[in-house]
Amino acid sequence: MSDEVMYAELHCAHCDQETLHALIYAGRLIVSSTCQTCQTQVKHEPGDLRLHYIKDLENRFATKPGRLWRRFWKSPAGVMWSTPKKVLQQPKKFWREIKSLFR
Amino acid sequence: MGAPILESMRIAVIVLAAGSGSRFGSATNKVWLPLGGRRIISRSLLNAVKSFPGCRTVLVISPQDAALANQVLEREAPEVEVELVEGGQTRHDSEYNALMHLAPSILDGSINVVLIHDGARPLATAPLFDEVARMAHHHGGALPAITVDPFEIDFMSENKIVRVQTPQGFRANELLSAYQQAHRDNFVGTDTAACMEEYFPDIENIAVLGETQNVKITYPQDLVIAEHVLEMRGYAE
Repeated sequence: MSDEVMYAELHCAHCDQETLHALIYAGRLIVSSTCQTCQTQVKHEPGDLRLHYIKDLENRFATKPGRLWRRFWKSPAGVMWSTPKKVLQQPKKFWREIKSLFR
Repeated sequence: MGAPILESMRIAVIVLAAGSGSRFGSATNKVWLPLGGRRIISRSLLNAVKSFPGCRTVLVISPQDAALANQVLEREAPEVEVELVEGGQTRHDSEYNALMHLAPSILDGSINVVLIHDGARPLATAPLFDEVARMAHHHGGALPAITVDPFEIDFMSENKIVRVQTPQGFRANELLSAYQQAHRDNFVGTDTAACMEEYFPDIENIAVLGETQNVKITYPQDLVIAEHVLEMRGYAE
């Protein structure tokens, strides 16, 4: 779910109707939402977003062992197989998230 | 969290997530958007069933979301046994489909209270579900509401104005009967309570105190607000 652009139908206050919105995420947090009809953008205030990101990152680190453990119990082979690849992808993933915060 | 749930309550929870999202081709239905590490719909579902372990749980989805639903539920809500039901053209049709799915259990008495919740309300807390279920069991129907300053809407009005939320709860037999009659009459209610009032006007729909944080994700800024609320709650619910 990191640094993804997702498209969803939300109500645009400017167009006053449901329109397609592009949503950019950094990790678990929404960075911005842009109406694809009128280009109105809703975003976190940048300083607030970075602070929020740090708090969220703390929570992600704190809960990671538990989440991994639950996944391991459910599918040990799947976790063993996918973990090395995921670990190698982490630096790139975090770099993308940090880049999103400074857009 | 109040007194323990009455043992005589046999609850089913219906979560509605069949809203549009396909009018723009590649668009995702908003209930599948991530919110604080989980999809909005996972949060709505997990909060809905927290007070009622082992209850029947029905998720109403669009047919095109079936694969995504299975994948998301397996990852984010593996502890909940969710029954997927295909939604209809309107909210009313989706409710009807879900109730018809539950009909055998309602008719044989293994379900006596049904809670209907909007999947786009991920912040409704377990105590609210608990309270709505209790009131519905006792009075016949219950819905959460919060008072609105009438000046926000019409400064000449002296009426008390409330904003109604979900979950809405009803006695199962009456609810099923109301939707069956509505189906025959082609009646479409604006929400569950409207259909009940049409066919069972004598049943009391008790308003319980809603939650100001129980926002329905509608505008983009609602996602930002919801993230802040989740952060305050430690992302727990």
